[in-house]
Amino acid sequence: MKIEDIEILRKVFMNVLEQTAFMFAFPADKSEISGTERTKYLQAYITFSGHQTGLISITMPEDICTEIAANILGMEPEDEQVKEQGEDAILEMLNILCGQFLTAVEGEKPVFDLSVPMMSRLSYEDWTILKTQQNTAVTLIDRDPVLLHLAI
Amino acid sequence: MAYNILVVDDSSVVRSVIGKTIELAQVDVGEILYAANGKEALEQLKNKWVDIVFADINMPVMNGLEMIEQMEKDGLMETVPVIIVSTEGSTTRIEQLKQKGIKGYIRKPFTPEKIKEVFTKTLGDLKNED
Repeated sequence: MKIEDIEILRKVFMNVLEQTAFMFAFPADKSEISGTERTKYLQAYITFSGHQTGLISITMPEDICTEIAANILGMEPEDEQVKEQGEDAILEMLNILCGQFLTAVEGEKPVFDLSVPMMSRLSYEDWTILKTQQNTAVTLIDRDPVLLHLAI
Repeated sequence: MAYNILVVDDSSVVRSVIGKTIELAQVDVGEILYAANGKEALEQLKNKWVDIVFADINMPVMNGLEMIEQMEKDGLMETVPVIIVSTEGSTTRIEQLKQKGIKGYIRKPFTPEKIKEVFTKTLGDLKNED
């Protein structure tokens, strides 16, 4: 596994988003993306260990979390269940993303242990730093930027 | 015959989705029970008859493998089929789980058709064994 595999991570994310939430994301250039201080950013992260050790995170505006959750659950974003389960939906999507990514990069033989995915909030300053890192790729869901980060 | 189904996953979203998928798959459902980890699942199994278990592997408190090992000690693996529903992609790990006696494996994300296929095959196989 190498840092360049961030491109594979981006492709796998787009596939997983389509399969789980029936939504589409498109690759974007970092220079075209800007955030705002008003936006609330959520970051979901998961670690893997075994054949190789690393971390994957996805960072996105809070609003898009709700939309993804609603699509996964087949409900409207205003539904109470969606409000309660929004973060959980993102964590599960990350879980699937990690599993699919590891298979894509390392094949079906190696065994990996995945951590329980976690969620945290990210400040606009930290979001900006994350965006500029070499091992971060960007996709757009409509006009919302999603940062994908791979650390090994 | 209506089947009692136990869904074991630490994600409330996955539990909801599997429950809905089972309903969409038009299988004959008696009751769908839910547990957030292996420990809760074992409690459910003590209190209620369950015809089939759908369980994740990676869960806090007690993971899927630990749950299966305890079910084995309790003699439940012989009577209650366990289907693993997981993001796991390693054939090595899947083979290890099959050695422990799981009856099927579904990789996430899954479709209603896949759930129904595995459900029907598993319970059909059990009827043939009786």
